[in-house]
Amino acid sequence: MHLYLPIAGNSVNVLLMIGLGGLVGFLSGLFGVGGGFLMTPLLMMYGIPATVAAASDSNQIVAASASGCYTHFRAKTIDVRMGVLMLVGGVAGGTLGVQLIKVLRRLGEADFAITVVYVLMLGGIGSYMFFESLTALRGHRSTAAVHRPSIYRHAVEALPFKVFFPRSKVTISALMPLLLGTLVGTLAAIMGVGGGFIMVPIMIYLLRMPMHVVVGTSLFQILFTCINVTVLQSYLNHTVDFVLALLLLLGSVVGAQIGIRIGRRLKADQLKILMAVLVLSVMVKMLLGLLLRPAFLVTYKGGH
Amino acid sequence: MRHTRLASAALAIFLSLPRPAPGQPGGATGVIFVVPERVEINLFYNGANIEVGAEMPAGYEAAVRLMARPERLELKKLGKRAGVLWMGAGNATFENIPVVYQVLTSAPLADLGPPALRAQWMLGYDSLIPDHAPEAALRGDLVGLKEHEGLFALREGALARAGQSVPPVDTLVTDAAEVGKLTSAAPLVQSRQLWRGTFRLPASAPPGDYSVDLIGFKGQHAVRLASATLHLEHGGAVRIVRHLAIDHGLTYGSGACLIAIIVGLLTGRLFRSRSHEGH
Repeated sequence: MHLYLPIAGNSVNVLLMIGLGGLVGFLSGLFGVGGGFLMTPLLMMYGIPATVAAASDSNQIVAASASGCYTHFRAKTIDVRMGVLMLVGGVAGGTLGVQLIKVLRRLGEADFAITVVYVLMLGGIGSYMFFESLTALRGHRSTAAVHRPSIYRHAVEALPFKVFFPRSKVTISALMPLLLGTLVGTLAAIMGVGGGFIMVPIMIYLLRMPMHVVVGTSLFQILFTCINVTVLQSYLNHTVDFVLALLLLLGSVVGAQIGIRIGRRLKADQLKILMAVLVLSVMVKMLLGLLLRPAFLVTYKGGH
Repeated sequence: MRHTRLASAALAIFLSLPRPAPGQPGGATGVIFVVPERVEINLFYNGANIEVGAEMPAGYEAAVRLMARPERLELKKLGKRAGVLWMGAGNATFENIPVVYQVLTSAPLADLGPPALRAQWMLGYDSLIPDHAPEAALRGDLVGLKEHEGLFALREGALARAGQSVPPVDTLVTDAAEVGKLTSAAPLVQSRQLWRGTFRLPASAPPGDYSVDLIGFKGQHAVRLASATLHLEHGGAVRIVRHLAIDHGLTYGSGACLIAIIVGLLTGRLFRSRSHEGH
């Protein structure tokens, strides 16, 4: 059965879209990522214009993250205080990133530089998480705790406005989540992705938050970010296709719940190693996209 | 469906009328029928098959060309950066490219006439992007992209000779499928020939007017024998959603978020209650 998408101007297979939503919702529930990095390219492959794919995906992420947030909120695994600070930073970073991308594009080589940096960054984060978790799973102590760079530790400890975050059981400067939120927001705006899989490793390694609180807090932040994106895209660009979003979210809300339940049965290091595999998979996919000759040497403009 | 029946009925009536005798000046005329002539894009729309029936003088080869109004097309070029990475490498602008371009012919394109004649009638991809055009080197990529989407199609020999059948005047067809039967049951009228074929419009074909032209080729000459218009338009729920999204963007976006949040929370609650029942 097919449905015509009024804004995308194309028809889609209903069951395929619900299944796709379910898969991405599952990843969202398991790792606390939005899944835009996976969903948007898949929708584009299906013939959905890039701008509509990205905007409608934001709409469905609202549902998946609301579903996940509800469950995490009841389980008290959302650090609202930390999430709000990172969200404020994220909004500021997003605004900064949008301006920065304009400047970079004027310089000419922006796309090339950004993509290469992004691939390297994903490769670095993914590899570090993978080997660190593997070491921990083999019974050794986490290398992250032992070998954390002292310069970083000294710099963090020197920051003012120290606050205790009871849900995460950490005491750090309130500037840390603000600054890191700004960094992720900037990167997300430049790269055109939600940034969940940059945010999650940052919460684990730089903010030292427990894994299960990380997933809930990330979803909490993603929820508000995607509400903002959906409303702005609807108002400014008219690119949100609610029929498409509805099909996707019917799958994603269920997928998110299944992901959360499976995530609870896994140890923190098992979750981390799976997250590392996901990050590395995204990196490999992007790298292949850069290395393999495209089928056609022209493509439609648009995208994020 | 009503339009389909009307068009089919009109075709049947036309085919029953007396034809001009061979050699008369009016002989180089034709008729083309498009069934359906109007297509409504509703929520369950998944593209459309457009049947065409054509009548023209004997001795001509036929081409039926369906296309939207040509316009400027701006695409992103992909090229190698740093010798290994495929990335965006500037823009490519093509002039006078129709969003949809499909051609059915009665014979291989090369047999219809010389390239200059075909180019004059915009038949063949070479005529859309001639060799002297600025981005001619990317012609194959553009055509490949458009063919992949189903918007471009060049189907040589896809017009089938519908040799027969002019039914009695009182036998009116009632469905698009009847066009086929219509042209395959009665003796062929001398010196006229009937052709039929089918265009497949993908769901991504935009709404608007499409011209459908019947072009006859004979030797070094070609003539437009008949034209028709196909009209695609949004209807029903599709039109309502588009109206909301475009004219009331803020309300539409806020409503979309609200519904997403409600569905998300309800699902979370549902799973929670199920999980409690399980314990």
